Amino acid sequence: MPPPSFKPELIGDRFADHQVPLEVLKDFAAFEELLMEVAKREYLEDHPDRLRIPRGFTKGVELRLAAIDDGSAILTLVVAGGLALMDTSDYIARAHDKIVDTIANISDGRAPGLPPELLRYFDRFGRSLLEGESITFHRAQGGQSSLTPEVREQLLRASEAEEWTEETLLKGRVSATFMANGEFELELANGAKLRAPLEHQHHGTVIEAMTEYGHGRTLAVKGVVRKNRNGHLKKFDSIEHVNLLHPLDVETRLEELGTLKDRWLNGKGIAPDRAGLKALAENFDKNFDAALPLPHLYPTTEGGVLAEWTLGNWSVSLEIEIGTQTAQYEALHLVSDETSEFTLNLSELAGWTSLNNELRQLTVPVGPE
Amino acid sequence: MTEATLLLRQIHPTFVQNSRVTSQAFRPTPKDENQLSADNGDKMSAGDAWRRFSAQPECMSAGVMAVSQGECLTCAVHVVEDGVPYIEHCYLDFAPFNGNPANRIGKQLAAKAQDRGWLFEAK
Repeated sequence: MPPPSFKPELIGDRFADHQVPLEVLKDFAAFEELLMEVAKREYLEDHPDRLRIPRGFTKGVELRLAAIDDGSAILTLVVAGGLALMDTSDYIARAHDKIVDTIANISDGRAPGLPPELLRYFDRFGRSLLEGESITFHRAQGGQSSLTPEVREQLLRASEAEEWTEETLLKGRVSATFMANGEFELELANGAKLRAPLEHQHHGTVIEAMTEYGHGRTLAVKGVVRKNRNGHLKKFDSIEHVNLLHPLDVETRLEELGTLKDRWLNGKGIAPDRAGLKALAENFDKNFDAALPLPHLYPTTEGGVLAEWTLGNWSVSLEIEIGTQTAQYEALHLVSDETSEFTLNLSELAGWTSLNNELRQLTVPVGPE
Repeated sequence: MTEATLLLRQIHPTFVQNSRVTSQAFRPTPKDENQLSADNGDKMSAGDAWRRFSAQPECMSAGVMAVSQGECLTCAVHVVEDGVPYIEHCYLDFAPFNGNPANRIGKQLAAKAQDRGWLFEAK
């Protein structure tokens, strides 16, 4: 019997052009552990007279990535392991089918099939998937079963675990450090405080963020965070990287504006549309000249965003209508009253080019005459 | 009221970012009917104005900034002491201005208020 091989398909924008981020491959290390554990149980089911699996049953057996094929990204995973494989390959194939069936069962609202303690492997398997992504398996009896972030959460809830982990990026202020414990505390915008390990390589950045706590300086922290069944975040288990954000970081400010509710201005004011704010943040990141000063950003009562720059004696504003991404540019020289006004379309590159050019002219220092 | 009289404006927390106040705080919104409310600084302190404003339902203020009546006149904005709904109330009359002219006045007044700094800041 040839060694088993599996071809899970990764679906999502990150897997275009048959490429797979390394962090996603980490998930398959957990998949391998789950596969071996289920294979052992399959063996014991076939041999009810045995109390334990044979010594060396999975010794040297491992899952290897052999290829990334055409498709969104189709992995070819082969089971390798020399002599030991002769005894285990059938059980590994059956284990694969059982895992795939479990994913399908949960998706269809049925009992999962695997016992709760094995479902806990989904804490790590599928953790790196983002919204809209999936790992899709072909089922032995035909059809497919897809592991998505939503299905993973259903599996973890069925595992009866009190808490599990998520890979996430959180922004907040550093409110404290605990040098004796090697930890720091991140205070989120909603007031929640999370402890996180203070790694040596992040030490300087974290301390700088804490020093500027009073000025609202925001730290972006990417890592693995532990949350309970109610969705409450408990703490960071590990930190991948930290990034001290510019005080006027556009994405962060637009996220803040996205929390506004209707009647936000003393009983008046329409809340800006969140999807529109997200699109604006992406456009800003992509098209605004990084050499130019960042704007201050404020909500308008009509649900738009007002970007303002103070550039010497120039007071510049860009009033953005979120739905259409059209904007009214106005620059006023506070001493001479000279003005410049025009309309821009920020859904097109030409609009951003015009904005960048105008601001560049106002920020160029005047040399001696 | 004299040209030195300070006209107190309540600044909504979202109208402040990194200590800078938006020019919107110094021009009427479309629903304000061209009248920008202020309190007469000769008749009440910035702290008292903040406390009265913040005690109203749905009203939030990060603090108080001000422009003088003289600065308003420089921008051709007249100040009306209407005394309604309370005796210290007045408003900056933006009726002669619409759209971009009102925006430009807001920028001029905001710059002056920002130079003057906070008269009262909420803790």
